Amino acid sequence: MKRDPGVFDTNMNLMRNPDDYPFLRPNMTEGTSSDDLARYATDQITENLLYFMDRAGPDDWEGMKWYLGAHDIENEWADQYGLNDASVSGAVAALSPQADWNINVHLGKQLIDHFVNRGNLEWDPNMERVARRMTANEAEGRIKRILIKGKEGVPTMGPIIDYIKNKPLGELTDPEDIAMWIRIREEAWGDPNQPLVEGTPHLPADDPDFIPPGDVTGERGHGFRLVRPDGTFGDYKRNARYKDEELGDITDSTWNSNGAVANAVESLLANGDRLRIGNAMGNRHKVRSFFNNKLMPFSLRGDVTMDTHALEGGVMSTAGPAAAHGLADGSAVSNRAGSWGTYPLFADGYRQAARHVSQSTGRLILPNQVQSVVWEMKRKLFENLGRDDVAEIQQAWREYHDSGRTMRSAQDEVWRIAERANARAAIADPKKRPKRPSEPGIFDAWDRAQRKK
Amino acid sequence: MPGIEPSERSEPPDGTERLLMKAGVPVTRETYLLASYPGNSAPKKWTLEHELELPEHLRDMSLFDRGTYIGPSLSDDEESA
Repeated sequence: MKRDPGVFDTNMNLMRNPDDYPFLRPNMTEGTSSDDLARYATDQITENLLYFMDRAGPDDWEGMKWYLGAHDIENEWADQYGLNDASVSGAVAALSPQADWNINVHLGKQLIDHFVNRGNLEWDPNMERVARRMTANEAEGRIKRILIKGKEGVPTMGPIIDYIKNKPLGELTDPEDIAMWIRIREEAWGDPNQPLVEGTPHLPADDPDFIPPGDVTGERGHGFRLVRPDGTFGDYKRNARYKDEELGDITDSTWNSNGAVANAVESLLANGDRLRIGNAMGNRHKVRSFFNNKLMPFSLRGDVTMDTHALEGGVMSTAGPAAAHGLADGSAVSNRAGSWGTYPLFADGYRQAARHVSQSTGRLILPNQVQSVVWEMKRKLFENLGRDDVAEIQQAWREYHDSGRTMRSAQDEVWRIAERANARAAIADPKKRPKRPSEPGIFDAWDRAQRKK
Repeated sequence: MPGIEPSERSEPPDGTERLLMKAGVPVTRETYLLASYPGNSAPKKWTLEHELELPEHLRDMSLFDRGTYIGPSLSDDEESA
C-alpha cells in the first residue's frame, strides 16, 4: 500500500474519522503521519486479535488445521482426477466468494467431476426442462423483484441457453460456456454419488418429450457433507428438525454466481499455468490469498485470507465501514501497488498477532492459522447481535476513544454484549445455544429459563 | 439502466459479460444478475461482498450504507406479505 503514497494517505485518512474507527484514540489519528497511523492501527488490530486468541479454547485451536485440511482435500482430488494441484486449488478458491465452505467443497467436487468426464455428456431433455424453468423464473425471481431498479424485462437466460445447448459439453472451450452447461447439468441430475430423489425423474410424468438419457434413471440429491477442520468429512448437512422428526431433510447445495464458476473452470483449463490461474483469481486480495493459503498452508509468505468476519474481528465490531474499507468499498485502490483498500493493514495485524502468539507459545504459528482460529470465534460470538447490541458495542469503543476507558475494558464490554446476545438467542430458541460457552456461567440465564420449563 | 459498451471500459469483460455478449444479450445490471444467478438462485441475503463481485460499472452502491445493505428486504416471507 505504501508503494503508492497517494492511495496510502487516502486510506489512512479514512481511519482518522472517530465515528468509523473509534478503536483508534485521538493521539493516534490527529496530527500524525500516515506511517505512524498505520503502525498504531496495526497495533490496535493486533491487540484485538490477541484478545480472541487469549480466549481460544481447545475446540477453537482445532481451527489451526483448517488450511491444511483444505490442502489435503484438494491434493486428493488432484491425484484422483489427474489434475494439476494448483488448478484444483484455484478452482475451489474461485468458487469461494460468499460460499459456505461445506458447499464450496461439494460444488468444487461436482465441477471437477463434470469437467474431467465432460466428453461424454450431451444436452438432454432433463437439462432442457431445468433450463426452461430458469427462463420462466426470470419474470418473478428474487433478482427481478428486488435488486434491479427499473425492470427492463430483457430476455436473458433464454438466449444464453439457446447459445450453449447445441454442443456437447466436450466441444465447449470457453470457461463461461462450460460453467453454465455444468451448472444446468448438475441442477438437472444432481450428485451421482447420492441417492435418487424420491419420485424421480422429477419431470412431470405426463411430459411426452421427456426421455431419460442413457443409463441415468433420475435426479439424484444435491446435498453436501460437513467438512471438519482437518479435511475429513462428516454427515450430510440437514435442515432444522420439525417438531417430531428425528432428523431434518438433507440440505440442498446452491451454486455460486456463474462468474465464479467460470473462473473455477478457467483455473482447471489452465492446467497449472500460473499466469492463467492468477488471472482467474482476479485482482482482489481475498480469493488470491485463499488460493495461496490452501495450496501452500505452511508457506512463510504470510498470506492472510480475510472476509467480512476476519476484518470485523480486527476491530471487534460489526458497526462502521472497517470491513467495507478492507474490501475496497469506499477506500482507494492502487493498481500500481496491487493494493485494494485497507486490506493490507489488517493482514499486517494478523501477521503481527501470529508473531506474538508464536513467541508466547514457543511454537511457530502462522498468520493464516491465527485467522482461521479468530474467524470461527468471531462468527459464533457475533452471530446473534441485534441493532441495539451493535450500538452498545460502538458506544463501548466510543468511550475508549473519548475517555479514560482502557482498551481491555472496551474489549471485555464487547465480549459481554455479544455473549449476552447469544444467551438471549438461546433462550428464544434452545437450538441456537452454542455448544461451548467460552465462560462458565455466561449462560446462567439460559439455564434458569430451562429449569422453569 | 443502460449498459456500457466494452470499448468505454478500462477493464476487460468478465466471463458473465462475455456469455451475455455471445448470446446477443445487452450487458446491464439486470441481465448480468439474471445470468449470474439463473432461476431464483440469488442469495437470500445480499451483502457488500456480493455487490463487489459485480463489475464496477454495474454496481449499485446506493443499496449500502457504510457497507451495510439497506435495500429492500430479500426475505421471501416479507416479499409475499
